[in-house]
Parts: sequence; structure tokens; C-alpha cells
Amino acid sequence: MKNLIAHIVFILILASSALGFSAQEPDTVKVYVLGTHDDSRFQPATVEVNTGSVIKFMVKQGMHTVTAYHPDNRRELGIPADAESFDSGMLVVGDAWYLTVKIDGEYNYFCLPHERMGHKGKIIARQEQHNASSTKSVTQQKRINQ
Amino acid sequence: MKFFEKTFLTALLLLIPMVLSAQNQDKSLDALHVTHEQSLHQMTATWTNQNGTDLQLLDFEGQPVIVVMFYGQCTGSCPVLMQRTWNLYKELSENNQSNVQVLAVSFDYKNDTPEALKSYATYEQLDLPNWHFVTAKHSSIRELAMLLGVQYRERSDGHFEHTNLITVLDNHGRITERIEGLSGNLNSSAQKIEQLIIENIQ
Repeated sequence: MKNLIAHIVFILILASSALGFSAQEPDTVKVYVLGTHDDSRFQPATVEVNTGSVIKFMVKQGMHTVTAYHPDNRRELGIPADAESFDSGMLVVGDAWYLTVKIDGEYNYFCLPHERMGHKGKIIARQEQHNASSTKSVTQQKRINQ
Repeated sequence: MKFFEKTFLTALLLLIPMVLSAQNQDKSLDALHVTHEQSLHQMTATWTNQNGTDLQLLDFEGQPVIVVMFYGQCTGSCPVLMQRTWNLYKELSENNQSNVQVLAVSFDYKNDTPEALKSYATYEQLDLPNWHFVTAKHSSIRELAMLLGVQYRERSDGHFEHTNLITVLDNHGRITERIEGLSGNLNSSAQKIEQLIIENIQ
């Protein structure tokens, strides 16, 4: 009986390990949001990521937004045509905002208050392997650090 | 009679006439002094929009008006506030968008001339027929802010500190909705505007 239990536990451990190895977590790339006026910037301003990656925007200074170049935001389209527009809303120091890019292509974005001061950024998303592109687009989530 | 009782009676005799007098005072409002229960259409101020056209709030009688106060050089909350105003407007059906007016009033009476407002509206892709970016005399701007409950002050560097508020006036200029801050769902406010439009049509 003890041997049977030991065998079952061993098999369960093996199975959970196998599942753990096969379910890859998406990459998370950090972009810092800095500056308070004409020194406002995304750091790094351009990131190249695997499609499906999560970009974590972390506000370290000032008040900013992460807003897609998209007609929904009254701007020329600057993201893949099939991608959903995004707009973080106002983010302040300590806030983190997450963006998942699920379609290949270039995502150009800006900060609403500081756009005219050049506060812009770019995400270049590419498939790691030549798989069929996902039909889903961008998912977004905001988490405020307390 | 004890001293306290005499004093109390004296005070009462003095106060009663004062109270009665106050109750009988004329309750009519001065044209410049309106409350939230009154229509802002009573304001006699003249506003000049980005096209150089003069208008008064009374010109919007019969339509709901979305009012927001901002200034063109703002690098703080105004762009986000304007985005929220746009988002509120976008929540309306395309047909209803043409039945509402948007009044964006600048605090900056010195720099936000009609030409500057035109440039701003064009850049923001908001130079639409029913979007009015306006300026006026300083006193008119101050008066409107007071009536809306918007607090602001001009800094020495020319920028303005201000509260963030989107106000909805009903078809007769009365404040019916106040959306404070830079976040939150706008759906219920949009529904309220659409209801106002329906009421106007009926």
C-alpha cells in the first residue's frame, strides 16, 4: 500500500513538472516612464519583443499615459491594423500598466500630456517561430501599486 | 425677573423682526448670480470660438451641452481630460453625436486666442462643427468656473492649477451631470445624454 502511494505521488510530481516545462510564461519586458515635463521619456523608447510578450510600463516620475497612435485616440494609425487601440489613462508615480501584444507588427504610442515634447515610444513584436498569427489582439491590464 | 431671563427676552424681541424681515426680502436673482438649479443659459457672457464666431450659452437651448474647462498649453491633466470628453462623446451613437454640443472653455484668456484654439482643435482632431473651443473676458471665465464648481488659479509661470471636471447641461442649461476626475466609467453619463436627446425629440 505504501509503495502504491509512493508510486502515485511520484507520477503526480512527474506530471506536474512536465506541465510546468511545456507551459511557457510570456516574456515580460519592462519600460520605465520618466520625466515631468520636456524631459519625459519612455526608457527604452523602442523595444523588440516576441509576439505574445507582456510590456510592463512602470511610472517612476511625473504623470503620463501610454496611448496608441490610433483613430480612436484622434491620431493616425500607428499600430497593426488588426490590433485594438489602447490607452492607459492617467498614470502616476508608482503605477504599473501592462500591455500584451498578440499581433506581429510595430506599435507606436505616445504620452497624451507630453506628446508635443516628443514623449513617444515603439514596440516591435515578432513571432519567435513561423506559426499562424493569432487573431486576437491586445489585452491590457492596469495594476496600481499601493 | 432674573437677569438671564431678561436678556433672553430682549434678544428674542430683537431677533424676531430680523427673521421676519429676511423672509420678506425679494427672492429674485440678479442676472449674474445663478445657482445649480437655475439655467446657465441666463449667463450673458459672450464666448468666441476657434472660428471667431461669437456665441452665448443661450444659443444651445434645446440641446444638451458637454462643458469642460482646460487650457491649450497644459502638459498635465488637460490632455487626459480632453480625451475623457472625447470618450464620452464617442459613447454616443453617431446620430446622437450630432445632437449634442461640446463647449471647451479655456482658462487662459491671454494666450488661447481664437487662432490658438483653432490650432489646438486641429491638432487634436476635434475641430468639429459641434465642438466649440472658446475664450472670453477673464471675468466671464471666472464666473463660469464658479457656476460649474471648477476651481482654478493662475501660476506665476503662466500655467494653471485646476480641478478636473466634465459637466453636462440639460436641454435648458441646467447642470444635470458632473463627472469629476480623470478615471471612471462614462457609460451612465452617456446614457443620460442620450435620454436628454430623446426628451428633446419627443
